[in-house]
Amino acid sequence: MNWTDIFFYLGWAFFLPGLAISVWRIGKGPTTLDRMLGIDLLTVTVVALMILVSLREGTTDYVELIIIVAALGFFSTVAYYYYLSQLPAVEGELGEKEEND
Amino acid sequence: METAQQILGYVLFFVGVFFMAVAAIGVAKLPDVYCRAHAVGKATTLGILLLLLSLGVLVESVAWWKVAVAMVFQFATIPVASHLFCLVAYRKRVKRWSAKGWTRA
Repeated sequence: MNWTDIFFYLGWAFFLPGLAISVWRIGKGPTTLDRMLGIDLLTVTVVALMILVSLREGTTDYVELIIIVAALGFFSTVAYYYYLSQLPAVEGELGEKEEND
Repeated sequence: METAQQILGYVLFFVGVFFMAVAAIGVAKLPDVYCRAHAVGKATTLGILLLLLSLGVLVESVAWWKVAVAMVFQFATIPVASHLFCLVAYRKRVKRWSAKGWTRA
């Protein structure tokens, strides 16, 4: 158990709750924007886990994969918001609950 | 025995993991979509940049240009996505958590 192992397991201990929180946020909402925000956090946490595995392997060969996954997350976000911005504004269309008033 | 470079890499890694945890806690606990987008946009950008820096410092056979391309890409895209969340939420008049309670933007 050297320092590399300790930091590897420390990273897993912090990133797995991050994954769990993002999946929980995707399920809970309350608006569609919150769900997309959860997907964004999921992408970023997966990128962080890829960096962790690259550190463990001692190589930078996976950095292209990091760029590709980050680009997929970003462009899916942009495409979804372009779609949302083309819709006419309707009150409560994003699934907001009214009991927050 | 660790060299100074390894210690620097471990410190960068630890701070990056800390900021990723801050972003996760912010997404879990903050009250509305504007605050959550703020948590994702700021904390994960800093966290990912520090993690990539620690990857470059700790790995011996490092290709710095790849790490630099990844850093520039993350630094360009994560804040833009975060601003898009807030822009669409503002245009769709999603309710906002403010000092006066829940108000329409």
